[in-house]
Amino acid sequence: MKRMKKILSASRGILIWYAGLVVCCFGLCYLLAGPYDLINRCDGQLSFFTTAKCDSGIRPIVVRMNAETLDPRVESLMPPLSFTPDVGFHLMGTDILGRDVFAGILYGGQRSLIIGFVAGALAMVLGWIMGITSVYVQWQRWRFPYSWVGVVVLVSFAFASRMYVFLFFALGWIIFNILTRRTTKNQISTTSAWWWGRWIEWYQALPDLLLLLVLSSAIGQLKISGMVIIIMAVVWPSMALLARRIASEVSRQPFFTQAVRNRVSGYTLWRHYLWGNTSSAFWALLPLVVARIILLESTISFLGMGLPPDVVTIGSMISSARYHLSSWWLIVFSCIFIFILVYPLMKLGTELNRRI
Amino acid sequence: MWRRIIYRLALIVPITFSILFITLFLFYTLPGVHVLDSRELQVGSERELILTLRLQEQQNPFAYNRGLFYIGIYAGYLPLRRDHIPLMFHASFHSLCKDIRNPHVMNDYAEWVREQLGDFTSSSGSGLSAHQFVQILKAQNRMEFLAVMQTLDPEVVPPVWKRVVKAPVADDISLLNISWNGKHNIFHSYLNAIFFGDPALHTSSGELVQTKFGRTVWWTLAYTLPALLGGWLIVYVFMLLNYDRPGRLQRINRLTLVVYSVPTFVLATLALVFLTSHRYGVISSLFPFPVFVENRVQGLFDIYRYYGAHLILPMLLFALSPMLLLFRIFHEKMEEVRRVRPSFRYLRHLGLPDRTFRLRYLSRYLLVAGLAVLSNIIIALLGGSLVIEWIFNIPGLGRYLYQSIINYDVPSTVFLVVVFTIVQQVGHILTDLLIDLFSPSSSKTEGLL
Repeated sequence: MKRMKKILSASRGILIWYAGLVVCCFGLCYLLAGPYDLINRCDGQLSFFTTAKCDSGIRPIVVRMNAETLDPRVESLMPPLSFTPDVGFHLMGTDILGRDVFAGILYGGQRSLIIGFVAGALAMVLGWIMGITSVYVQWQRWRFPYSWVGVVVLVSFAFASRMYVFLFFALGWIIFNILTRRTTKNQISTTSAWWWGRWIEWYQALPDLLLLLVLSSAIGQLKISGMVIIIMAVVWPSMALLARRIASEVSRQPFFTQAVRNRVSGYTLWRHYLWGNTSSAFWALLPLVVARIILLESTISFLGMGLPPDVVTIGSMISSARYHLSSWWLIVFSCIFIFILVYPLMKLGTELNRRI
Repeated sequence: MWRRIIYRLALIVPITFSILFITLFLFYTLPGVHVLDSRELQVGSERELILTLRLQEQQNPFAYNRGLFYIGIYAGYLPLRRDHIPLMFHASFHSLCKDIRNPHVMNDYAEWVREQLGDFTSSSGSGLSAHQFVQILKAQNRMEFLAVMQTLDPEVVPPVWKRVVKAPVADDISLLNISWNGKHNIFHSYLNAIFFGDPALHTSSGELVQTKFGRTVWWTLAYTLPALLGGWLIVYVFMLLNYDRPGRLQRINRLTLVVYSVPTFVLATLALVFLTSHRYGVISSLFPFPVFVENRVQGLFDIYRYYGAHLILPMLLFALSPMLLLFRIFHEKMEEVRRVRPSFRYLRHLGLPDRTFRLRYLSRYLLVAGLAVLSNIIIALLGGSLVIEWIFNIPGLGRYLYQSIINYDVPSTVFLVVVFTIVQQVGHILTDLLIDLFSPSSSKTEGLL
């Protein structure tokens, strides 16, 4: 961890720069653009972030619109640096529906960052847990009672379906379990580890595109949480395979073999030996995964399979540029922003990987 | 080695079957919400609604079967013939069944829906309009069902509707049901259709799936084949020529990071707007605006003859990503050779000519590194890039798969997924075989590099 801190301090510039970007998207955007008055004075009372129309109010600094605001006063496809009275400056122009591109980039960027960080963190955690566990089960002394769980499921199923003939199967299974019970304890078996590995590989063989498209069609109207789940479902297997590879390298080291011989507890093996020796790779990969997910999310939105069409994202803005070839501002600013969003993460991840 | 290959070839069968099942499961069982917005079916002429219903029939050609798989486990309130209902109305039918809670009556209702759908598709007519039929399919509970029924003349109302409305809640409903469907299930029918062509699969437009595949595959190969082969060769030769210039390679490596940070769809859209639109000066007239007419061509030669110039830009954009990937792989290998293998310096100190070192040792080492991504390249060759085909309107395989999924064209999607899975698995095996064949460690030169 000390080494990690040292490496992170070397990449301080990128981190500070990115923190600024996050603050801009999550905090400043409400001051810069929004369909409200920041401070308003109605009937002698001060109110904040209100849409009520009063005489004396302080408007957002740039434009009185958010990403989805449709204002009849604003014309469609206005070029950058245009001005609409009572609404504000359109720093980056407007789209075909008259929505402000600058506000779209700020709020769309906010959504991309939320999806990227949440889905990235969840996919990494899930993939890492699965990957490490798939190696750990080889040395696990306590065996998960798969057979007994099977019996419980069978009995529950018999009662749920009112097909009591399954109780005979359950009985047979119990007798089989008792008769084939192993007498030696604490033996090491590679069977579980093999099955874990094959299961992860099989999952990864599922076509990504199919999973993405069918899941998003199946879930229907997507919210940010739905998007996070779909992306996580696609990304975690590759993380699990990577964690498995690193963890199996660790497990071949002499110190690990000695720890197994010394009968170190399962928790310590998992937590201190496997996680402890793979955590630096985890932190180094995290920025790369977040960057990959931001790109993935924008691609899905571009294809029209992401968030609903009325929700503005970077991908949906670029998609609309295809139909309005003369409006260069629809694509150029989105493109620059996506680069600003992704490049520092790529740089940070590569730097961390190189040093680790 | 051969035993291992036979084992892996045999594994293709369960992998393909399981992926086929998962695909069908995703389409048939997963949607618990309104998949296609059937509420939007309010408007439209009678003729349009009949066409939509016919499309539903084509999307689900094996709906007359009893279930999805040989064995089925489903909620107790659902009837055995639940798959007779068109995919579009699965969600409303499930809600209705949950409210009625009488699977026997709902089973009869599902059979009636199937017959009625058959009447619409064969244009035989049965006294019920398509509007009325759609309205009843959209009913999600007993009250909605009754409301639709009351709008009709009592003499026209089918007897099964009255039974649905009056059906008492069945006492013998279990939480779960299990059924043995035998060979008459959707999975088995698709297996027969894909591997034995019995019955033939049709797209939602009525065309044979194999014919459509045969047509679109040429479009994809037309731009992927030159892009991938050319890109691979360029990077390979470039690395061999520049292996002793680490500074230059490092600079290019940094540049690849910049290009990687911009997704392909952004690059492609930028190229479309600024290189083909003829609206931003000379630079925007560099390439012709992409317009592809599918019916005009018969094969690969025709595609190049009529659209060769139009395909250059998609080719360049498509080649970019694999070239960057190959460059990074080759660069990493080169660094590894330089850092880890002492024989690299040893060979040079022995006075081995530069040319011999490049062509005899280094080339082989890089070739193996390049072969490691061969299976990905084979998949890319066939699948193409969905984004490129989408932006440039190329009627290729990627676009075909995308539209199949979007339109719930199950036969096309299932066929393409099975083909891609087999190709991917064969690609993996081929990759390992070639690596074994070309790997320096498996030949006399073992240990030299």
